[in-house]
Amino acid sequence: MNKQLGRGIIIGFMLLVGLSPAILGQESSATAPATDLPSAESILDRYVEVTGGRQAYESRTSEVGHGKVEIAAAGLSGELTSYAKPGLQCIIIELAGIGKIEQGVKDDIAWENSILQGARIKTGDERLATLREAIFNAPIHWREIYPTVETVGIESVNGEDAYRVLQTPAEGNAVTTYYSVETGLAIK
Amino acid sequence: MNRPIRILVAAVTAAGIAYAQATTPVPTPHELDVASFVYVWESIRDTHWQEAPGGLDWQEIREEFEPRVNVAETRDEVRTILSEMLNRIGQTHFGIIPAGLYTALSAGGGGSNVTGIDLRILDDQVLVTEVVGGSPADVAGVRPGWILTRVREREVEPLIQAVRSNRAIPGNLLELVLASNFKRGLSGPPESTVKATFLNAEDGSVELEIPLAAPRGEISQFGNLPPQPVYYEEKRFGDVTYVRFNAFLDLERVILSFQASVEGCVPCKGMIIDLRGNGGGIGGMAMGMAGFLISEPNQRLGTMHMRETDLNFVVNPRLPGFGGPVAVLIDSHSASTSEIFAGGLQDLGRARIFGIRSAAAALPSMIERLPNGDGFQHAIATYISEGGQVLEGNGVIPDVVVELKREDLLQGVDAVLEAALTWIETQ
Repeated sequence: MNKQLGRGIIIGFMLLVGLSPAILGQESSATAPATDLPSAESILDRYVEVTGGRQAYESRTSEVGHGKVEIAAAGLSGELTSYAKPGLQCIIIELAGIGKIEQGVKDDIAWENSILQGARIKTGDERLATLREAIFNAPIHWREIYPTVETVGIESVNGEDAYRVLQTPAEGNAVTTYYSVETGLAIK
Repeated sequence: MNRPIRILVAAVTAAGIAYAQATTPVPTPHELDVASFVYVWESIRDTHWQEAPGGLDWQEIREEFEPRVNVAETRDEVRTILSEMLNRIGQTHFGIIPAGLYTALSAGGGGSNVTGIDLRILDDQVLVTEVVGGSPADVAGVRPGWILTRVREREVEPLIQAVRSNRAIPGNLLELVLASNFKRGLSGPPESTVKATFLNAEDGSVELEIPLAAPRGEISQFGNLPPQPVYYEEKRFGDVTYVRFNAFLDLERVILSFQASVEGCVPCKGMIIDLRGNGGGIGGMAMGMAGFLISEPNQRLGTMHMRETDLNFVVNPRLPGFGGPVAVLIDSHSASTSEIFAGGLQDLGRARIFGIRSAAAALPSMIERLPNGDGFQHAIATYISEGGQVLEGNGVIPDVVVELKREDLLQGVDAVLEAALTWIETQ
């Protein structure tokens, strides 16, 4: 797998901020045998239900999010603000020692602007991944975004059992997400 | 990594107050040392880019070293054992940073005080290569080209021999380690002095008691790295812009300063980027700063190989860009990100490199705080420049080698800079 450094290390966590900031920094261990696992389809549909249901998602037309970002292993922390509506997204991260990082999507254009790298238009896999993560109300559109999904196993994430679900888009790299067995919420 | 240790580490690194208020029994210093050993061992197991780090059977390493840590009686002993274990890997960027170093550097507003002298080792002598103008050493009369013979009542020469005989230090890093330690010996707390003896230009012995002052630059704190002074300076030599900075840190200030230097150099005849003594810092800054010098998209400085992924150092062209001749100056203290920057620009044919071979210490690494408070540096990847050079252990080989000479320093000549200026004049 190839990634541009910007995705991978210094500002790589921006990939993660498409998820809830609350689930950043979790860790998993101990894979359980993949027997009698629920289908990935049912896990993803359950996630929609436990986070409010399809109707609630469809009633949303815009979104503003605030959160904290922490990379404990590196001792870095900062603030995150995101704005989104269909076809439009902007995420702003202020990280101590790195400064402001802005990234966004407008229709099929994915961009980033930071002191570290300057302004740039994303291309290739990086663009595709950013566009996928910016899809508004993505949880109810998972079938269009990820044509192939699979429950790989059960793992412990910070002591909580979670289904490990592999979601593969039509183009680009697969994404692994962990959903709590108990609550159905995404926890990593 | 098991969960209790991770929680312990998180408490120490991210929430000291919460840790102090925990209701669970407070770990003893020895328990913290043991937890630190496990953290170090597991970190290498989980993050080293080779499944067998340095070709070692890592499980066997644990079986060998863990019993020694379990019976160690002092933290210094534990540090020695951990350092020995990390040295077995045979790669740079693995080490233990005593907690006291963090404390010393940050006390009194940050930054240990210094004389203002820079040093290099040449022919087993400690050569003064720079005296910062207006610094205590400058005021005391120390000049480039002098040779340091005693520091704090200790002869220098036996210390050099002692370090040379310590096989734990990779050969390519000996000079760097030696000079860094002598510089550390010349530093101290605020309002203190240091006694040092030099050979002057006539080889006469000069004993001085030099007051210590804050280092030049501004103290920068990045993540778990100890606070360090970072300076950025720009000069003009005729129609050539010269910039120098001592670390790829203080990201906003250094990148914005570099951007301003480039703006001031559009147009100019050439640009010299002096990375001598620059020990590196944030790897991504190499890409970001190279973006001001490269106009073609999708150029790479190199590739970082981690265990499960490769990261390409892709340069994003930036405005304002400088398209004229670029000279990069390096020496044996140009390390890590400096090597990524210089080696990548060299491979892309975008810069001509002057000086002597770099430190050959380019592994990307993380520095974390251990449960016992010490810092732990460990490399997480190897790096290959765009031209296929493995920088670790090899370094960047200059296009124009200009050796360090005492005579030049005594005459106030910077031969490396002059070679770069001469080259730019001919472009």
